[in-house]
Amino acid sequence: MNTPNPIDTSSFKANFHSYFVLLLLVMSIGVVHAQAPRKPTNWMLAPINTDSLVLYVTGSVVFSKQSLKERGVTTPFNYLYDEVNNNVYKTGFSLGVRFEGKLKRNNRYSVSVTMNQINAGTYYKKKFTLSPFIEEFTHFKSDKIFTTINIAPHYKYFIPLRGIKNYTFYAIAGPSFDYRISKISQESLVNRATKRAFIGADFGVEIERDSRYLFFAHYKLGTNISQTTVPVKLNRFEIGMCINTKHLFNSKIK
Amino acid sequence: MKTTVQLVIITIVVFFLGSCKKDTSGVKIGIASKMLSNKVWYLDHKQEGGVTKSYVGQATYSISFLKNKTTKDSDGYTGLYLIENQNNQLQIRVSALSVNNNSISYVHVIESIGDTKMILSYFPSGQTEKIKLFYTSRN
Repeated sequence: MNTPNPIDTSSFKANFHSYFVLLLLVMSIGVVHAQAPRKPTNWMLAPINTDSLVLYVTGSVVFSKQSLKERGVTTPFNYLYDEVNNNVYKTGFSLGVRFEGKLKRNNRYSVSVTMNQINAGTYYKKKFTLSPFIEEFTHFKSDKIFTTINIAPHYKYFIPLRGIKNYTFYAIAGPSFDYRISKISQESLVNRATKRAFIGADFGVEIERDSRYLFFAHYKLGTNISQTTVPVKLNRFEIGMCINTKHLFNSKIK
Repeated sequence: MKTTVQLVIITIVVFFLGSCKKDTSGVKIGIASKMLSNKVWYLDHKQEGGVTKSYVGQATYSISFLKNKTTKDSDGYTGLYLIENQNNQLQIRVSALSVNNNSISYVHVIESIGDTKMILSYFPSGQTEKIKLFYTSRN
């Protein structure tokens, strides 16, 4: 007798974060489109010229390294240090959208929502030994590849440079929020060590050409929002490009 | 519009502060099973009463743990094993029979386990000093 297959709820659970991210992206774009034609009435938006909102698509190469330090991990596991430690920057990528608006004078702001495929080298600051049986080991093994959704509002400070036509230079700074949407491995789950949310600070420079496209180089330093037995510092260098959707798709935002 | 913005902000905050999956004893057992199974573990050292005996480079005791929860050792015992978490401490429970049908069952505490190194310990009956067994694995 054929028995009906049970409903597979695990796949929905596994993809829940992806669905949510998609919803978030759609909502973000919806907000941009909806806000653009309106004049600001809120005092917080008063200095912002929302008529100047520009939507970009963005992509970048991300070089990442995570540094972590065990604090009271109580597991009986040993991971040989030489096999898990990899104190280098590894290459991942990032894709998403960004909208920009003008502030007073020449300065600007930008808000980007991106999906990041992080491929991180891992530096374990603390190691243990049970010499002569086990030379150097850690109690915890971190995931090296994971996916995050990143939201980063940046303030862009205009840098006046003489003698360079058609290009404008900006220094940027701002907070950055990352939420890990990929599945966490069992090894990373012990002692509730791995946390999904990161908060950080971004610094960098951007070179823009006539609001058509821009190149950027950012340094992002992130750390866990909530307390954990294995706090992680996620360092990233991001080099990428943004293209104005108006020019890319030949359509108007307003 | 304002409501939509507020909704987006609240959703983002909830999303970022959302709790992570909690670990359970099942997670630890799962990792330990992965590390332990489908390997032959060779006894390298035995520590008893502060004295360490080394068996490196000699014919030594070995035990294999398979994925189907069966075990077999170099003394000829075959049987079943189970990894369990008692008082936040991982243990291997073994029930086996010898070639002559003599049964044996014991519980060893997992002090440390990795892909290639494992330390087990137990208290011999009637003694208060524990014996530590240092194993190295080969596939």
